[in-house]
Amino acid sequence: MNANFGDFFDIVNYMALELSLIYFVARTRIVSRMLFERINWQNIILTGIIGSAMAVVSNIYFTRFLDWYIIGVAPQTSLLFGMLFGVKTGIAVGVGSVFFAQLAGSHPSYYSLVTAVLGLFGGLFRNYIGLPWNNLVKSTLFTFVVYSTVTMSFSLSGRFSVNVWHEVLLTMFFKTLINVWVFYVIAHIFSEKTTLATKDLLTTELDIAAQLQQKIIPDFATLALPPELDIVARLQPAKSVGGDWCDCTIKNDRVCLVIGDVSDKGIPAALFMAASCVAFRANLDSIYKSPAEVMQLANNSLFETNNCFMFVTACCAEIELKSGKLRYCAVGHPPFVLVRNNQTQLYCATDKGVLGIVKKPKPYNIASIQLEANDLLIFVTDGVTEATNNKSKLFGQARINQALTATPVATAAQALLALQNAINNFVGDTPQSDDICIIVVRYTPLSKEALSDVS
Amino acid sequence: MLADYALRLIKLLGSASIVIAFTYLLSTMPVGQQLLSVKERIITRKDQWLIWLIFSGFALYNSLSITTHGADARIIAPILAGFIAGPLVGVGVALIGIAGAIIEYNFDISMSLANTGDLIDSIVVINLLAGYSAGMFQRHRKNLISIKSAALFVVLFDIIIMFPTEIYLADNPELFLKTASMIFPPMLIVHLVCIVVFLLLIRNFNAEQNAKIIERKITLEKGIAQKIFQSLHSDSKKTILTQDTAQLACYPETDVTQYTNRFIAKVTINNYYYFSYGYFFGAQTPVAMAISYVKPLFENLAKNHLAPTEIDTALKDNLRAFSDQNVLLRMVCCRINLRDNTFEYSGSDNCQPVLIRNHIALLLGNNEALQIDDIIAVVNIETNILPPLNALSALPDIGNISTAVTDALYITVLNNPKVIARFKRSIARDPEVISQLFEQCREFCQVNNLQPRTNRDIGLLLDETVSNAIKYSGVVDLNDTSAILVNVAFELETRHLEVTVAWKGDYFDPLQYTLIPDQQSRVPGGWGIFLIKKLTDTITFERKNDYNTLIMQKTYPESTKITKPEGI
Repeated sequence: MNANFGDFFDIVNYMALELSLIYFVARTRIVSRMLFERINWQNIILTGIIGSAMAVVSNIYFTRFLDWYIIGVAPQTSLLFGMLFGVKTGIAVGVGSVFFAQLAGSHPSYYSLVTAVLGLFGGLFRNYIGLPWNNLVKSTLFTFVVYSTVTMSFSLSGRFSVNVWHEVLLTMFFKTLINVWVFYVIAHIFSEKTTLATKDLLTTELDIAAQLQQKIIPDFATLALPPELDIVARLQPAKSVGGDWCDCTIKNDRVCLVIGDVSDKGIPAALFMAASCVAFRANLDSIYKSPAEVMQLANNSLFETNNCFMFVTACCAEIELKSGKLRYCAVGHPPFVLVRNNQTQLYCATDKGVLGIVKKPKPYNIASIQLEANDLLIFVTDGVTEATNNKSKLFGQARINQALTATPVATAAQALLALQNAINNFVGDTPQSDDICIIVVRYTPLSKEALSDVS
Repeated sequence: MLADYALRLIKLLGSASIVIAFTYLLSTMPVGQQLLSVKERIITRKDQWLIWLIFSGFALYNSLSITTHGADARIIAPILAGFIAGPLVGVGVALIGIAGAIIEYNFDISMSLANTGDLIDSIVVINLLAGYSAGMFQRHRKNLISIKSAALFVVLFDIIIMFPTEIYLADNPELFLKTASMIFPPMLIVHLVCIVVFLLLIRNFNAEQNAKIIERKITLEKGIAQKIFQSLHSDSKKTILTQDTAQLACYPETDVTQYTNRFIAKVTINNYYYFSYGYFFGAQTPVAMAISYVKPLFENLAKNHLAPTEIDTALKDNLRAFSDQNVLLRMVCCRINLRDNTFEYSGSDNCQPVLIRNHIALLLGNNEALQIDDIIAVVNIETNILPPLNALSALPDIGNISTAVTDALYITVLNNPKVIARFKRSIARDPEVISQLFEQCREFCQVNNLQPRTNRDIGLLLDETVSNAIKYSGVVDLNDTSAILVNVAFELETRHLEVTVAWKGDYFDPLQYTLIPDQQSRVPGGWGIFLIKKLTDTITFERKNDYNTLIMQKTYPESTKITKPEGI
């Protein structure tokens, strides 16, 4: 190919090389810290050496490959480093590049002062106009004007023949372009770092929120449960946090359980879940109220704060330990399962509708069941019945029943594990689509001897 | 020799860098974002054409820009195209590279190229092999090739492509070794650098893309959550809170317009005005969750008539899960008894109620009786927003104060206490003392000129509650007449009566037995709750410091006192 094409390829190759180098140098910890955080003397010296080395390599590239001795690239590098890292680094690169170029056998004496001054100019730009990657237009114009002025003044000083004007203009153009590329790359790295930092911040925030949510619900393993009951629960949000929750209160000879599901998923649901949990807990903790009254009061409390049409479905159940009588009230909530003698029975919601939307609904209904020894109760949210596999099939109620009766279970934990395994096997790799909450209760009334011991 | 290597290396790196530079630029464009995505790598026919076009450009450029003999960067384009889009595209790109080489050598395919030392047939074989083998290497992988595998591939491939040179110079092993030592090291370095850097670039790009997607999702979610947060903390629907009691005014309004770590809660219940001001430390979402949890909790605790110290303790207990996660609360719980305007508070040291009275600011203690025009400022001390007390004193009115110190809650007292008459006695179990109590009551009603109806109600309520309180107090030793057993109090406002009867003894909530329909039979002997309920508007039970307390309230249509006609 002819010489002009060769020059073109070399210039483009040089630009690509510099772009690649800058991209990876800017990603190193030291340079990244200097660019985006703080600059200390140690880093100034290090960056000065890197910049000087780059200036020398560029000089070699331009002088050896292109036979362009006119301007070299050192001024451009010191200006660039000054703009990127400030006055001190700019001057360091300016001085260093001259020193290294001399060591490399070039003849840079004529621009020894200029490189340092340009480094100073670059630093002043950073100090007074702003970070170059945030002011792309201004920094482009600045680079072009400063570099043109310097080059022109050298050219017009009579050191060079007019025949090299086109080379002067061409280099001016390319070097300005290189600087702009560099600023563009750093702007992109800055945005990338900001994005990654924001993501890290947000995910950390959500991790903390998720841990908080797990701690809001009672830890049944450490809860002082009465000997008649064996209770385990599991909360598994679809995202980091979710809108399902469960709660338990023990008062005298009664144990109250609540399982609830807030509409929507993620952070919005988690905020409403926190408020819902308190709305129920406050009424469970106070003087005796029936499950229907708890529901009613919780509804009123939620309605007062609900301007966003969020709603809750819930089931509140109360077990009298001595008599084994279970009273429950469920509003719009999926049915719960009673497993007795390895047979399942479904108990549907006592009321239709949802909580938190209607101001003063008519009193909710209560239903009751007489529990027998070794009965298992399984309360779930719709995340269980609506767990979906890769063929878009739902887990459904039948599979819940099947999982609970496939093998006889001796403890609540075993029943929970069986159900959880059945869900996991069904769903496979398909991402969880809804929050899941499960409570398993096993009722074992105390014998008369045990009762007398307790009393 | 070394300088020659260095020059060759710099030049080759320059030639190879064009792929990196362009890939980088491509990654910043929407079309590149789709093509370079590691996840969901479903390369459509259109994508294949696009990748072929882009990488053919590189192949052509690399072929045409070769000016140094020996190694070149020509095979990089087919290898990368093969890695991204499979063998077909890899071979397609290789063909364009070969065409470039033919153009570069002036279409003389039989020429032994003086400036490269390569034969055109070896260029053809190597390029096609590069594109095809890279494509096959990637083909059965779900994700984009790993950096280690790619590096291994390049090393093996570079060794293989030295064979044509070996065959070409089979007769002269010395020359082969010399040529190989000139070509192989810079070629291997450049190929390795270029392909590893390319994959690093894609990895970074994908990490950024994933981060962007996650950030966008979470930001969107937080945007929706902000509305819920506003909804939970706006008092617009809470009729109980929309108007502060006529006796007090509160600044600022509690409507929340954005996420905040501050929270203000206000509850008016049974002649008590509860308010709380506090702030959380921690990340935004956990703090929003904590506030969503704490505010209704405070309101519910206040509705149970708990004292500020009890609320403070209950909140601390309930918030242990939050403080374990470094979501820390600084708050102060306050209560003003609207009957006598006494002020109580409890809270952390960082929040402090300040009383501003007659332009003098003082630190406020418990059980301080407030006066008209008093201002209570609950301020955050920790953030040093509280100016010196004398600076607060210098401000002329609450408007100026609340403008000067925004990080605070202000309550100002507008009116006198509500109570117009108060009766308070503590009595022992002695029947004589009880009859004296009823006598004192009658005297009190007479002195205060109460309406006959109010008079009668007080008598009935005390009769029902005091006698039964003694009966069901659970005290075994009935002869112990010295112990203080029952506290009786009633207070009158213009149209309002509140009777409080507190008795010491075992926990016993008489209301419980009237609320369970199927346990009516368990009501212990004619407690008279039914009658009390008929006589009062509200009746509440509290258990406090070993005392069972019943609070009965009634509001009359007319004044509780007999008002004499004017002029008489």
